[in-house]
Amino acid sequence: MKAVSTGYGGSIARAVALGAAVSLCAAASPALALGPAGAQIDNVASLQFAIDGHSASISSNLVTTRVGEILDVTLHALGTSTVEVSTGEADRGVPFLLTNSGNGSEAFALNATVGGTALPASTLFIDTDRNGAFDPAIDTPISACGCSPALAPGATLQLLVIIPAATQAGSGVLSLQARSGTGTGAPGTLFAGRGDNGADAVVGATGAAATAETPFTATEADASVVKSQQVVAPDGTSSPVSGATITYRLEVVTRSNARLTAAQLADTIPAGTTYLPGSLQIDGAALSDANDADNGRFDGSSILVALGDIDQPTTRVVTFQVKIQ
Amino acid sequence: MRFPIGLCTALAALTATAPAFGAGLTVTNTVFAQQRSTAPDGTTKIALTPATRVTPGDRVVYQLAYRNGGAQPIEGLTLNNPLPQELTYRGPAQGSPAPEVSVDGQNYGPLAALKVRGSDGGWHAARAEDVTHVRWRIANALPAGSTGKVAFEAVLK
Repeated sequence: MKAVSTGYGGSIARAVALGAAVSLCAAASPALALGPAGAQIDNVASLQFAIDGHSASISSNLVTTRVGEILDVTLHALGTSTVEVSTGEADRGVPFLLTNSGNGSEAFALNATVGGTALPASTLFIDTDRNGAFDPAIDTPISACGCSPALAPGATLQLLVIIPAATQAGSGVLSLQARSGTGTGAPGTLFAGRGDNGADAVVGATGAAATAETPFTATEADASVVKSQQVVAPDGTSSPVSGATITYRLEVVTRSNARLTAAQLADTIPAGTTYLPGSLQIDGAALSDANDADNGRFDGSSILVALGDIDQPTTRVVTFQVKIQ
Repeated sequence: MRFPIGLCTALAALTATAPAFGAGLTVTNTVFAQQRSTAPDGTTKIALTPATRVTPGDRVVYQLAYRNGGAQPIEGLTLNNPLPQELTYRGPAQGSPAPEVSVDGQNYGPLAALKVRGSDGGWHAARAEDVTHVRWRIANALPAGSTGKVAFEAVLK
């Protein structure tokens, strides 16, 4: 059975892909145990000896070596399969895992492209709760410079790139590049004095840059649900005050070659409101609240309407009413 | 890895010599970074360059050069080098006698004879990464005016 979710101009593919992403986010890298950049290594030897039977000891000179900062970064796409997205989807995040694999504190410049076209920094977010899905209330945007916060050696940052809503139907590749803020180049490239604590920074084996890609397929949404509301207050105005009635209208539109089986529309009654018994309708015809022969019911918290099998372009309009408490 | 120009002066500052009080024994401690390169004939060439900066994974060589500048022979010379904790011991450097090693700073011997207590509470054969001290005991008296060198190799963690 496919459930049509409401409250978004969203698609059916969302729930499936989201579940797949969630299962992957436990794969955090272990911290690396590299000598910390900027640390000083001091070495001194002691000597014991005897002359004419008298023992003595001396120390050698102290030699000091500074640990340079290695600039290294790794970036992985979380999830190897192709991401399926619906055209017009505005908040679909593709997760990536950034790791500071160097031995110093380092920020990274981030650049995302889709089909070779650069995306603005505003499409990049930190997946704060590491759930692999974009939640605008939780996930924090990357600063306008397109750079990550400074990461400790071995630390990871889970990122989300939002696929532009304007993406046309078809296949594409979403690419994310991370570059060390200190600099990049061939392994061994030196940035004198630019490492932690004024140590020298040296580009490591990764070239201090990494790129990861996720292929995606954008398809026309099988079905979309547009939700609208109309408020009527006891005084006849549209103020959402206590006692006002809200009429919700859910318009379900399926596209030309959609094939939905046992589709069902579900919508939860908002908190602070009470369902008005007997207000559920489909295409203007009343549906009873009981779980009986007709296709609609109210289960105490949500309205549920069975839409059945749909294999041609269809528009169905479901309405119901609630009262503000 | 490249080094900035001006390293020779840096090296001079690193290799100051410690004077022994009256005995005439001096020792110079120097650190080198090991550079491996492949020669045109396919052989690996190892060069030692002064190490003013190292990065994790680099091989370094610490060399102790000693000299009896006094008039008397020196007996029972022992050189002891506690290993900086940022380093993992690898072995004697090329051309140096092998040191005795220790995993606790108390008991010395060849690595194969040493044991360490594992996280499971049992005793296990010590590995190079367990070494905390290296020591050379010079068997013969060091005549006046003579010199010697010992060196060990380590890797920066």
